[in-house]
Parts: sequence; structure tokens; C-alpha cells
Amino acid sequence: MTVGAVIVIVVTALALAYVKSFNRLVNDRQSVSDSWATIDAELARRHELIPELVEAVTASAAHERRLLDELVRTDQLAALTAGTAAARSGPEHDLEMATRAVIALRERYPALNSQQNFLTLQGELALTEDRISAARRYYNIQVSDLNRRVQAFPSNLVARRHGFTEASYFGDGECRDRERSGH
Amino acid sequence: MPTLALFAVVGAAALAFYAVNQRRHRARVARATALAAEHGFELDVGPKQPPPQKFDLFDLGRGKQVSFQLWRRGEQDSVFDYEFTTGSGKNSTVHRRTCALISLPFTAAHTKIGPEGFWSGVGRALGLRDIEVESDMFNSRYRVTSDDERFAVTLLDQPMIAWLLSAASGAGEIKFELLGPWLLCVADRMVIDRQFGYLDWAQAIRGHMPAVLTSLYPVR
Repeated sequence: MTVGAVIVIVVTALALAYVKSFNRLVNDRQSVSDSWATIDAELARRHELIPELVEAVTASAAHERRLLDELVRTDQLAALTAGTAAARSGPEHDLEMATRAVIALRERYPALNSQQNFLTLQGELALTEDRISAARRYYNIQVSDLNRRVQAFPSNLVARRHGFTEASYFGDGECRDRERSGH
Repeated sequence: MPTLALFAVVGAAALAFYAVNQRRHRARVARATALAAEHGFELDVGPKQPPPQKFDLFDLGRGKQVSFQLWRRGEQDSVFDYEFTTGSGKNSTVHRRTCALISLPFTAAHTKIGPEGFWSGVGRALGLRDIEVESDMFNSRYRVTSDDERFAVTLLDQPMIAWLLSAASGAGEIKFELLGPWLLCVADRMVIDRQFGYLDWAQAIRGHMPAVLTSLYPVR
């Protein structure tokens, strides 16, 4: 086998590896984007439910104006916050906490427990939270995969050349901690 | 003459072996029947074909048969002995398992969860990845494959992972296969006395699975 043939084989192998690495990065970026779309839909669903919750609670616990105002404020702030997952994490977390605080009012106002629309909303919000949580886990794993590829050699060379960047996690910092610890 | 004697001895040994096996089988049937009656279970001694669900386990090997199937009256969930043969000639191996087949309140993507084996561990160390979740300990102890990664990640939430990792769960050596509205739990063959508890244990797994699955993957 001539030196020329060896060079051709090596160059072909490198070219194939390059294309494979590029395609993986494209797939990973697409997975991150798709999984973010799922979170976005679930967050939008939560925003739809908040005004109904405020209305339902106002009927039985009008004295809790401060909590309700706080819920409306965090809802508006979260709805207005656009951009990356990192930017939305804080406001959406605040909204989750404010929602929980309002839902917890049923312990102080037993009338809420006999209010059918409140109970229905409570169930829907709990389900939506579960769906957000499931979507967040999947999204963060996709982000972890993409970021690992963007950082690791040799795929980082391909990533840098074609402008692939790390994506932001959404929500808790668990995945970030994992990545920092090198896993 | 010596040849005839040899045949006679071999024949007698074969008959004795058959008789002992038959006696052992009858004793096992009697024991299973008594225990099933005691626990309020139905019993089908078999042998019969594996269930119609398209689990990978039921695709492996030949000579597949289900025996000693136990279930509670009016319930779909059951526990049974399952065996199949792989290889041929001197290299043939009979695999004996005890399986619990459990109905699920959602439609699962085809997913397998089992202990990390030697070769899959080597592959993982070399960077070949199956589905991974948020827990490094879980990833190192279990191997997960699925037709739908999103489903697998949704199934394996923190409480489910914690349960699988806890020694108290008893899940360490069990292989799980989910497909459609069914869960198959596969263990090494166990004595009939333990199978009733095994079915209860497998049924309790439903309680560890995230409730959100019923809304995201409703039964069709």
C-alpha cells in the first residue's frame, strides 16, 4: 500500500468522523430545542390557569389580598420574561412558589375545599406542575448531552467552528452540579 | 448379552429419572394448588405458550413455556414460571425465570431497565451511552434502553430512582421490561412459596411510578 493510499484512508476517516460529530451536535441542539418547546407549552398552560385561580380564591379568601397580588405580580413578571431557559428559571420558580402559597390557603379557609372550581384548578395546577417537572428533567438531560459534546475533545473543535454553544439549564442546579463534577 | 444388559441398565436409569421427575412435579403441583387455595389465587399449572405481549424476553430462544401461572380472581396481573432454551447440542442452556406480569395505567414505550452488566459497564466507561438520568449512582448501577427517551426520563423521576436504588426495594437483581400497558418483572426462578409475595411486590411498583405518566401517556 502506497503512502498516498494511507493518506487518502486517513483523510476519509477524519472527514467521516467530522461529519458524524457535526450531525450529532445538530441532533443534540434540535433535541434541546424540541424539549424546550414542551416546557414552554406547559408554562403557558400554567399562566392560563393563574387568573382563574386568583378569581376562585378571591371569592372565599378576599382578605388574602397580599398573597393574591403577589401571585398576579409574579405571573405577569414570568410571562413577560423572554429569552433563555436561564433567564426564565427564576421568575417561573417564583411563580411556582407563589402558586403553592395561594393553594395552601385552603388550610386556613375551609370554604375553598367545598368550592368545586377551586378543587378542579388545584388538580389541574398540580398536574401541570408535574408535567413541567417531567419536561424539565428531560430538557436538562438534553442540555447536559449537548454541553458535554460542546466541551469535550474532539467534538469541541467542530462545535467551535460551526458556532455551537452551550445551552442553559432550566430550574434546579442539579445538572449543573453534575456537569461541574465531571460526570 | 453384555450389550443387552447395558441397554437394560440405561433404560432402567431413564425410567427411574422420569419417575423421580414426575413425582417431584406432582409434589410441586400439590404444593402450588394448596398455596393458591390458601392465598385465594387461581392456578394454571400449564405448560403453555408465553403471553401474547411482545416482550423481548418472549422472543428469545426456543422451547418457550409458561407454567405455574398464579393470579387473583378478577385481576389481570399474574406471576408465572417461564423457561426457554438457547444454544444447541452440548452448548444448549435452559433459562429458568419467574416473571410477574403487571398491568399499567398508562401506555409505556418499549423500555428495559436492568442491572448494569460487565460489558455494558465497559461500554459506558468508554463513553458509549444508553439513556442516562439525573443520578450518577443510578446510571452506574442500572442500564436503561427505550424506544422513547422522554418516556424513560419521565418514568425515572427522583422518587422512582430512589426506590430502585434503595436496598429495601429488593429491585437490585430484577429486570424490568415495559411495553404498552404492561410491565414484566423478570427474576431468577424462585420457589412457589415466594411467588405470591413477588406478585404483591411487583404490583406495588405501580405506586412508585410518577402519576404524571397517566396524563402524558394515557392508555389507548
